Amino acid sequence: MKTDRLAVVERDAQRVISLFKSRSMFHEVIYTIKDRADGPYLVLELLNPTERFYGIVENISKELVDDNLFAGRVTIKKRFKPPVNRLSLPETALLQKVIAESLTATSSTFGDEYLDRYIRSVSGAEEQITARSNNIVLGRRGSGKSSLLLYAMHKLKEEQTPYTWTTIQTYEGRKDFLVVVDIFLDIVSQLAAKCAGVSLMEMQLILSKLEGFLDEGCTEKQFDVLVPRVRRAFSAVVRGAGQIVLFLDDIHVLHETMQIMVLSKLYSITRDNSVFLKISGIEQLAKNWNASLRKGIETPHDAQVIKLDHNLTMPGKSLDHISSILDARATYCGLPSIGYICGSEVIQRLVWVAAGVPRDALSIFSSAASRAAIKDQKRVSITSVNEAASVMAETKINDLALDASDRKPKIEEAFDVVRKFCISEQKKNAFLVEIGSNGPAMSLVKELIGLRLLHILHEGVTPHQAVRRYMGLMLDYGFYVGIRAARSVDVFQKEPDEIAAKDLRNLPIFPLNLIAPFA
Amino acid sequence: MSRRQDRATSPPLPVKTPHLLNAGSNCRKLLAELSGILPASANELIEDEINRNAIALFKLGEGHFLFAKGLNKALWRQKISRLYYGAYNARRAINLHGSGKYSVDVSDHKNIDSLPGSFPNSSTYSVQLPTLRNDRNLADYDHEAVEADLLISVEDAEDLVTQFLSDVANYLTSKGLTL
Repeated sequence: MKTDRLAVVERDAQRVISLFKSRSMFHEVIYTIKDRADGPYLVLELLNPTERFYGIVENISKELVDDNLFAGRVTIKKRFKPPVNRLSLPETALLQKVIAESLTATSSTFGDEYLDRYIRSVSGAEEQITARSNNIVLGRRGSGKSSLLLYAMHKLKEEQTPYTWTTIQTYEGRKDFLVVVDIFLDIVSQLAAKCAGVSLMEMQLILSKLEGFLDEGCTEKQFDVLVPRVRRAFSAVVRGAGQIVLFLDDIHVLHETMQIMVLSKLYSITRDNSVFLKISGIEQLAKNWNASLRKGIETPHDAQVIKLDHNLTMPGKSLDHISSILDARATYCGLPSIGYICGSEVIQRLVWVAAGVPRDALSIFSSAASRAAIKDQKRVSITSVNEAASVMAETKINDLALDASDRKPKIEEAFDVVRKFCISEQKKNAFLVEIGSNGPAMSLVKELIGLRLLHILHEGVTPHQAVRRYMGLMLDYGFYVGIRAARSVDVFQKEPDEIAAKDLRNLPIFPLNLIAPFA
Repeated sequence: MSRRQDRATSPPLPVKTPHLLNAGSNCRKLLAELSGILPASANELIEDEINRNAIALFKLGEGHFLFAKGLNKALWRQKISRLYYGAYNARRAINLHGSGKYSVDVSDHKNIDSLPGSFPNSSTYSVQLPTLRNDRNLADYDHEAVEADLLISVEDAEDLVTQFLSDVANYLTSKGLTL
């Protein structure tokens, strides 16, 4: 009889544990069963019980029917026993999983928890992106552009305001005019799904016209004839909904002539129509305005720019932002803070090697945690961060194919020249380039910055004569630390501290003509 | 409910008459019914009296809590018991102020986690306050029990009630009460 009862207790406990595991996402849950005079209780032991975990237990308790011994008898207590190895905790394993899932921000990221789990920017960009205005969000890959757009999208979803979301990656590298038709088709079809009655019928007619253009081909003139009709259809929706917001994520992946074309056509239906554009792109690769043709969207008249990225020019702000993201993810996973599995010096190094890019910092941290765990380290170390940064360098080279596919070979060659200059010749990881000289080569440098291969230390210093200004740049850490260690390199600053002007003035000057052939 | 739990929830003393809380089962409902009859100044007096009682209930809870905090760690039964009454009376203060409910019935202990929808950390309290109640029953009535039988430790219980009283104080203050 006693054995039967124990089996029932264990069976019912396992049912609760299984539900808790699937909802908390822990692969392992430590628990005890307290057999007391008033019956058995199931006590889940967590390192840092938070409202999220109590919410899960509360819901499970409501769902358990009376045939489960633990209906209304499940609780959580803080786990006191200090772990031997903090990196082997289920909480740390969950953190790595959560970080991996959050590396790419898509419209399904975090599901309905998006706004709860969103970490606000340090610059208050959220107020700007939710305003009734056109915005272009600029920053390097991984700086949080898509996350900011998604913040605005989820806010609109809450308010039941119609919006569309277009991932421009689908049309990567396209320079044919039909890409405009494709993008309009995507936008109109999404909006049609939110319409009814006459508006829906009109949207369907427009859709069939656009599909006809795709099948049979069309010229810009033929397309332009349809534009006023699209504008009127949007206007009809606005009359009922107040506004429509169109999101375009990663505009820079289109060929630059088509970026301007798409924005120009979209602006002609949105201007003064309570239809707003929220666009994201890498600053150095996004082209929103052609001044000679006066085509596209001109900033700041037609759209306000939100810059998310300050490279390494504001290291303190980057440190605060990345620390708050890591802390929030750690707490979500049941750790007391990110400091529980690494020291503050590790976070400082992380921010510096990631050059202030949040996604790179998350990715490097997750990889560093895996490396440290394999080596049986108890916490994430600076060495493991350095190694992970080195591996990250490969990813950045791969990103070239995504962000600048047609220019990849030339960019790689130019970067090789800069790398040799730093590591082999000057043996320094930082250098200066003169602003205003050699325009095409400077554009190439800006591309390298946009692709996170170089990072800005200072926007403009005057080391010698006041008339000649120089930009302070740093070669990405991943290319000379960790497994590629070049011990002879004199490393310019290792942590996100304020940069002293005198240190910048002593940096070597990179001759831009060395990369001019690749511009 | 087991016999043990019945015994655990002996009623608090009723208030001495004459008293607003003896005039009906719900003083907010009473106030609503009288609002069309009494002058505004009289309504304000009743409102003030509700607030005064809510503050007094909160202070009663706070007193239990401070007493518990001052107890020696070895007196785990007394600590748990007083911590529970600290939380229970703070919850009564919220209910009286919000919905006008005031009860001296034993069954009111079952509502230890009955809090307004907007109350912070509601899931934490929904799980932990009933747990503290079960521990209080064990501490007060189970002569065979030992400290290790508690579902949450004395330290955790103290942290829980500290946070709860702080949340209750903020909530009542946000409603215009001066504690």
